[in-house]
Amino acid sequence: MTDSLAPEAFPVFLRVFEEPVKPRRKSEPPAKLGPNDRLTLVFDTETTTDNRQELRFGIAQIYANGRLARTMVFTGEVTAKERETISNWAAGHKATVLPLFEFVTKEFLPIAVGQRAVVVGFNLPFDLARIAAEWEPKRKIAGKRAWTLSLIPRSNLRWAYVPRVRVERVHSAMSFISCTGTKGRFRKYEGAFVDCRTFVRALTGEKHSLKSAGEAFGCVRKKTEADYGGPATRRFLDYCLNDVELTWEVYSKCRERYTTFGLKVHPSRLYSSATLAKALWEERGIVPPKLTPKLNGRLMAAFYAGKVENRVRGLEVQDVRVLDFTSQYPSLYCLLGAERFLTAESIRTRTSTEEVRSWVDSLTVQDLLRRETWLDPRMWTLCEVASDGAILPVRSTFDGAATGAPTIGWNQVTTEPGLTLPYMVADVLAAKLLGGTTPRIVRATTFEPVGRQGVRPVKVLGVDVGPGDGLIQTLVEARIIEKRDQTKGWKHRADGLKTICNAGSYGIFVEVNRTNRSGTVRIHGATDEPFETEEEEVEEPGADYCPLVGTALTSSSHLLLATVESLVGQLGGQFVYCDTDSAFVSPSNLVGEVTAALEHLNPYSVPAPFLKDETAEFAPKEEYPKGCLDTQPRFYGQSSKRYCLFVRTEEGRPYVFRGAASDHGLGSYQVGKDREEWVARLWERIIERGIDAADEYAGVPATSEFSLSTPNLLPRVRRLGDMRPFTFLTARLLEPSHDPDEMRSELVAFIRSDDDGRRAGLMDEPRQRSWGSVVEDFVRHRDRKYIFDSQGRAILRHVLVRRKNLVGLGKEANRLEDARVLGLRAVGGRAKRYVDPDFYNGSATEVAVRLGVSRRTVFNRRRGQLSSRGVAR
Amino acid sequence: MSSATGDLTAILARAAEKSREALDVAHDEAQAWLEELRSGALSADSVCAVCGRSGELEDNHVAGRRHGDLTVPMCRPCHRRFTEGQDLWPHEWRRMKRTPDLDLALLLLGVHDLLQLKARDVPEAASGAYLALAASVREQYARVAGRLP
Repeated sequence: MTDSLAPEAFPVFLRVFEEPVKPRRKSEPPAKLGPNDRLTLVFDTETTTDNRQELRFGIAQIYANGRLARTMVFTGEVTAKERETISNWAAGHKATVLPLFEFVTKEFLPIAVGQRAVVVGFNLPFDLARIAAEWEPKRKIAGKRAWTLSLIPRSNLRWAYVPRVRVERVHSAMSFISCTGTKGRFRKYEGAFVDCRTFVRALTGEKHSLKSAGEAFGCVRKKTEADYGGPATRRFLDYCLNDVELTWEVYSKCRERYTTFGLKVHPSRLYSSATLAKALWEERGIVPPKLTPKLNGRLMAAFYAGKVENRVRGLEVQDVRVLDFTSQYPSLYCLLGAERFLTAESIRTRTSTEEVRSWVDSLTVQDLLRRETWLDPRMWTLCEVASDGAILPVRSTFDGAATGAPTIGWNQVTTEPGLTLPYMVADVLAAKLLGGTTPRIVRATTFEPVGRQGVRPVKVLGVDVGPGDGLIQTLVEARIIEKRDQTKGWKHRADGLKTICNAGSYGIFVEVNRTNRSGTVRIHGATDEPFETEEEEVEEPGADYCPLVGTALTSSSHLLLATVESLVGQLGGQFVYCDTDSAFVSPSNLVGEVTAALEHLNPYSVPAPFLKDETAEFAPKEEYPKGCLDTQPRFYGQSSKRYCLFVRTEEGRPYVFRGAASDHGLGSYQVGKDREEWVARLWERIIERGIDAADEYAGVPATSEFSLSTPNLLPRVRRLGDMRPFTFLTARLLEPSHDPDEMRSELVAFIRSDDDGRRAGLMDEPRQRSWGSVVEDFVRHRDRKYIFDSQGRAILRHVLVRRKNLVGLGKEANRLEDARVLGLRAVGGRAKRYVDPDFYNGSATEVAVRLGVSRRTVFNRRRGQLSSRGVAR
Repeated sequence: MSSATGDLTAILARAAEKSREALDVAHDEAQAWLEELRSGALSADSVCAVCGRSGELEDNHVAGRRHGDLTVPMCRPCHRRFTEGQDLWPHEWRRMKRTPDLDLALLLLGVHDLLQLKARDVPEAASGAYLALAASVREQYARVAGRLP
């Protein structure tokens, strides 16, 4: 990168820690009854294809002791002829036919609640909503993200005390489902609902459809297709039955695989790989030691996630190789010896300013290529830093106003006199390697583990981990051995180990959840002294919260990348792009030297490369076009996360590799059936024609597929009539407007992606956005964190950090792709922002714009009663 | 002495927890067996539904031949024991005209008897769950029977 510009004062966001002023008394949860795993009810529904997607019929099967006991067909909106067909089909399949109400009252509820059977489905929220008689937004949940489904009309007094079903959708592959509104004898049972889509994703870490899940788990049955709009024929019923049986098969295979994890959590409470990791730590008997709220706050303020940078914009770079760290977070976890902190009885701190200063001054890039440096206890130091142009991470909108979404950029940072920012020592060392000045350490606090908790032995996926063994190290090494030996069933075990190691070595230590409780909280981290605010949705740390480990790991990942960048620079190469654990470098001939140098940091006792060349995975040799003269791929990037790798064909035209064409920013838009192919061809056009590539997509409507997953969307679908929750919808994108409150999309009745006729008709609708406009935006998009010169090379900004520009930031949104289409409010609002009243000067409008909060917030705050709701007004 | 008492408390608590877990497991097992019984899934087996022995099996009508089609495969000794129990069923119902309530009452009675027989053949820890389930079925039977003339 080239030299920077004059300092600019941007709003700077620091993550914070919320401490409740009145701690909630956590009572022991009442003993709940567990489900009966010997009984399983699997069901699937077929619906009308109109707006309402009402139930036509469904098939349910009950499995007892793992074998089919009964099959039932339940009917909704069917014609007399269809009813007859269903009866005949049912007779041939020894199935009972019931109208929906009878199915719910005489079979579903007695089995699911009375007999505590496990209820299984694929995309279960959709099917549960089809059999519900009534539904309403869950009360008492701020932001209304959950639904309550009544399976029997509430006016029916005979069934007044029957439990209802609450469904809270987190994202398309994760929902919390439980029985609610239970009284008397039902109080002790919350139900057991397993959405196979969630189960599969938790075990594999990948999103699957029923078809792909069946294939991934080697099921005997295959997904079939049907004429969904046609009458209920025997073939249609066969199709539905096949879906139910395939769902059961997927569920059984998942159960089988889950058993090998050796964890006690029931699958109905398994929401993601993080649940697996949490259960594993619990099994191990470990609870990470707690730190003071003030330290938690400063550690959160020093927390910056993975580094993503594109150094060359809109320019072709030849002879590029992709380097990737093997399981980066688990590897760093082992390299730094993080487990000694997690298993400690407590963590003590000591001031180590002078010692750390001289250590930082003495270290060179050669020292950082030795394992001992990373294992040094001083690597666990939090530094209060005054900077004068050092290259450090800063989270900002890189704009005068703070209303946009902040991003993290490594820029020259200057702090105003008297102000310090917290950084882990790894970020300080990275700043030293990246050039510029070395930040001045004003105060350093080193963390030290004290004592050791009683650690229990565990057996995970056949791997024994003794009390004295490092949990993550043993599991990662077992995975390396599995991959090397490839004994029977190795792939499943290796994938399982990967899933659990990734989740168990990082994410759960910085887990923060937004609750539905309001209250006064003390905000630590954004400023030297904490301040109090009123919050409508208090944030609560997860059970394994330990920001020390989370922050140490992410800052060390920045240091690893800085080491690679430094080495590449020394060898005369170019550091083109990086994303968390991977680096794109050029030319290819320096790769061997770089990987060999980094190999000294390998923490494992079994052979496996620490930094590996993964170019062949992104750009496989067999995919090179015939006659291509390139032997190495070329790189073309627009901005962070938007890049591709390609080669030039014999005729000089670009050929983009399918696995190396990013669709970031386009993720939620509907494209043809083969997404990878479509995106690769888009990139080819962008490389050839730049902004003119958009012309080729003009006249094609931009749409996106959603479901009525949250009650927040209700006002937007009211004109479509009464709709059940989780009904599929199409969002038609609208031409962008200058008014930020203007909707970005309009929700219309569901249109299948292959229904070209209806899709083409959308272009006649007012303000319909075309793909041409989306592509134009995609090409124009540029990182605000840097400035690019006329050659497309990134120039660092120079950020002046002022105390009055500091804004506290809560948990960051994780449904950004959805927010692009639906707006922030629909996905639960943006991250919360907290402001310290001491630094308010100027008019309310000025302050509101500067801090990215509403004017009302500023007024309230000045009156001492801030209500900093995260939802953008 | 005091430390021994302390140990005893912990041991008894652990024992109580274990026994509760065992009861839960047994109860789940009994419930699943009942579902297999009522759905006719047991008919596919080539072992006795009660004692699990293979060999010569007979189809036993749970509610009696005249009052329902649900059958379970049973070995001769188990079938004989079941039939002996059937002899104790209310005699007056044998002459009554078939009604849905009567069929249901007899089916429940048959299920009750089968659960009791099953309780004799499962491990001691599980038999309590089958007997408890049988008692509950008996209560339901009494309700239905109360509706009969």
